[in-house]
Amino acid sequence: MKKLSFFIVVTIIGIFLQSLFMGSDFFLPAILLILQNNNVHLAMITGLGWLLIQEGVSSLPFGSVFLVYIAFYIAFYWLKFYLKTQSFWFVLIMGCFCGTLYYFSISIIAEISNFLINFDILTKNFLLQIILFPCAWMFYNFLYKKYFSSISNIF
Amino acid sequence: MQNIKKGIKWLIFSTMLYLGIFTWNAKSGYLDKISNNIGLNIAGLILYPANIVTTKIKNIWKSYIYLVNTQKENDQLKKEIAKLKIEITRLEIKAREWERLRKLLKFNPIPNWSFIGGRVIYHKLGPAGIFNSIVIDCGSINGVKKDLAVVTPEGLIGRIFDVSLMFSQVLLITDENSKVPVISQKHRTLGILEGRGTTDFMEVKYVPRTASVEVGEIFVTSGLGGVFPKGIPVGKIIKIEYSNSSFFQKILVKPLVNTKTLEEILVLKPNKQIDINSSYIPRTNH
Repeated sequence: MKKLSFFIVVTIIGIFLQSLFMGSDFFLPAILLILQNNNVHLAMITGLGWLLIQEGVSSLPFGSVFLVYIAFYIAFYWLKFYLKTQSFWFVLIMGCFCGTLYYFSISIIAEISNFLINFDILTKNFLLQIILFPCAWMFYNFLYKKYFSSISNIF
Repeated sequence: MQNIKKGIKWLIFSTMLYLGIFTWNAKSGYLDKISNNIGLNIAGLILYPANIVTTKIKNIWKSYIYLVNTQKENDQLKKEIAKLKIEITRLEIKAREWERLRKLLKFNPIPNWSFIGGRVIYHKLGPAGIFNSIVIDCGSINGVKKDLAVVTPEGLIGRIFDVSLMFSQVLLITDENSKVPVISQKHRTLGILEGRGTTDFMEVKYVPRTASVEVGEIFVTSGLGGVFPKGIPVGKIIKIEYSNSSFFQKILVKPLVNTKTLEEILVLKPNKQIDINSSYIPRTNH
C-alpha cells in the first residue's frame, strides 16, 4: 500500500513540477532514490509507469525516454562500483548523466525521425535538468524518510 | 576478456532489439498510442484540477494585491470596499471569460466543418516535450483526430499532433516542424509558412522574388495539402527581405494569435466527404 502511495505521490508532484519547470524529468530522481534503497523491483515497476507517462507527454515518437531510462539503470550499477550510492557526489553525477542522456537521446531520436529541434531549448533543458535533479532528489529523500521509510525491500 | 565479449554481444543485441522496436513502432504507432493514452490522460487528469486551483489562487492573489492599495482609506469603509472589490474582480474575470466564450460562439461556421470547443490545460511537458505545443481538454472521446486544425476567432494556432481519450496535444504553428500552405489575402501569393521555434515570428518560404506581397498584408490558409480549410487567417507580414543569392523572398510573419496566453480554442472537424477548399470568412478585422 505504501509503495502505491509513494508512486502516486511522486507522480502527482512530478507532473506538477514538470508543468512548472518545462523540459525537466522529475521522476528519475525518485527512481534513483528507490535504487539507492535497494528496492530494485519497485524501481523497475515505478520506472515503467513513469516511463509511459513521459513517453506519452513527449512530442517525439516512442523511444527517447526509454533509451534514457535504460541507460540510467545501467549507469547506476556501473557507478556503484566506484562511488558509494548514498553519497551526494553520486547524486550529482547521476544528475549530470541524466541531463546529458536526455540531450543526446532527444537529438538522436529527432534526427532519425526527421524532426527539427531547437538546440537552444535543448541546452537550456540540459542545464535545468542538472541543476534540478539533486534538488528533486533531496525533496523526495525527505518525503521518503519521513513517510515511506518502512517500504519493504522485498517485493 | 570473456566478460567483455559477452558485454559487447549484449550491447549489439540490445541495440538491434531497440532499433527493431523503434522501426516497428514508427510504422504501426502502437507504442505511441499506448503511451499517449497513459501519459496525456494521467498528466491531464492531474493538471486539470491543478490548473483550476492555480487560476483561482492567482485571481485571489491579484484581488488581494489590488485591495492592499485601497486600504489607506477609512478603516470602517475598508472592509466594505474590500468585499466589493473582491466581488468586482471576480465579476470582471467572469466578464472577460464570458467575452472570450461569446467570441468563440460567434465563430463563423465554415461550410461542411463543425467545431469542438476546448480549454488549454498546459503547455509542453516533460523532458522530451521539446516542440512548441499545448495540451487541450478534448480527446478521441469528443471526436478529435490527428491533424485536425485548431483555431481561435483571431486565427489559426496549429494542428492536432497526438490524441488520447480525453486530452490532445496541439503542435503550434510557431514550431519549427509546423508547415502550413498559405496565400496572401490581397495579392494571392502562395507560400509555405514555417515556424521558427519562437512565438514572435514565423517565415513564409518559397515565395518567388517577383511575387507581389506587402508589409501588413495578411496570410491565410490556402487549403492546399488537405489539412487546413481555406481562408483561416494565420499571420501578418512584418518584414520582407531580398537576397541576391536566393530565388525567393524572405518574408517574416507575426502570428495573429498570442499562443502564450491562450485559454480557449476550437478544433475544426470536417463533416463527411467535405470539399477542403470550403472557405472560412473570419469576422474579426485585422
